[in-house]
Amino acid sequence: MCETCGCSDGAVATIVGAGGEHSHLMADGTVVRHRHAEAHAHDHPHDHDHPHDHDHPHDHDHAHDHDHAHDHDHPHPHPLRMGPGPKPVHIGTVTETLAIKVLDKNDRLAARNRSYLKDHLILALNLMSSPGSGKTTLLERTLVELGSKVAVLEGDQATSRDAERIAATGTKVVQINTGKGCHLEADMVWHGLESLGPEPGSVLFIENVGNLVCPALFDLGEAAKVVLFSVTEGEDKPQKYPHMFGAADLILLTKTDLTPHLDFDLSLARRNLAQVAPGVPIMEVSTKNGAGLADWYGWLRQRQQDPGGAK
Amino acid sequence: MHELSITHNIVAAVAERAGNRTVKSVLLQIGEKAGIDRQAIEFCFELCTQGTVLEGARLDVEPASGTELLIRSMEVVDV
Repeated sequence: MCETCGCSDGAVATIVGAGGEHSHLMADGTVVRHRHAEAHAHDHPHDHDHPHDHDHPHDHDHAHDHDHAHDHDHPHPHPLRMGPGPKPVHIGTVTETLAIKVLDKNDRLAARNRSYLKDHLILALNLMSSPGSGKTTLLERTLVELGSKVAVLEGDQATSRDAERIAATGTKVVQINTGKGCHLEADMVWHGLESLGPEPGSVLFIENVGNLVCPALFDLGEAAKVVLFSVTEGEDKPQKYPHMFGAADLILLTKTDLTPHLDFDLSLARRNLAQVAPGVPIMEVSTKNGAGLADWYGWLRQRQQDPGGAK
Repeated sequence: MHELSITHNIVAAVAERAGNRTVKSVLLQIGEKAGIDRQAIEFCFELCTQGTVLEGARLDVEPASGTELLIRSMEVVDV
């Protein structure tokens, strides 16, 4: 019997769904599903005026409470047996438990990427930031100055402009155009790896689509996520996009050569970062004057010692 | 708009389990830190279900903790 309504005497079992809708398994094996109004209380406040004999009219307010028990209709045909004839068609529904993690497929593909990269001693880094914070420019300089075997997967919605810039440094690069997509997913990286064929022992930079929202959700199989934050953005970016900064393994404050011309408060930006990404290392870099790049290269070389290692 | 590709994943996963049965509703759990906008999912759901066994199905969303993003159950027409 259904404990919510008690209406299903004679039924064998119930499966209760959301919103008061529920199904009953009838004795003949059919499942019926319906919703019905429950008993509830109404308040009817109302005003009325009484004329009085004396010279000051006044109002009375009454609030009345009363309870109604409602009858209810079942929006489904009852399996009445009215003599011979075809058995009535009875359409019911059943609820099945699924417990499917939505990003499970991407996570499995990312695990395959991670295992491939580890087997080939490739250090894969997922570079993320808003558009225009200097990912490609940082790569152009890093690829030349790092002095390691390097390869690049470039993600953009459209065009191969970034791949052309990377190719000009003499680096192996494959451009992935996501079309309508706003982020790279693990299967795109898998296909990118097939085309790119990075050398064992190399550093693979995966430049994600410029976007501070969804790239944070999709594991690509990288060893670490590097998030860039340029000083031409607001100091409160970390608070506005906490998922992205919270997911970072390293944060690079870029374009620091511009700070003399800006009101950007570096110490405030660092405090904001510490709030959403506590303990995550922060480096200030400039590809224009080279400040801080030695720290960045040092971090990369250290990670190369254990390319598939834990974050 | 990552909700579009996420909704495609949801619809594909449910359709796979439903086979040729008609799906009447889907119950989704979205964690507060999942980075997923419920309204955007609802908007995309109608688009993504067109021409599938989920066409016309209702989407129910329950809040959850953390980064959970789970398809909890589906209601299918029992044949």
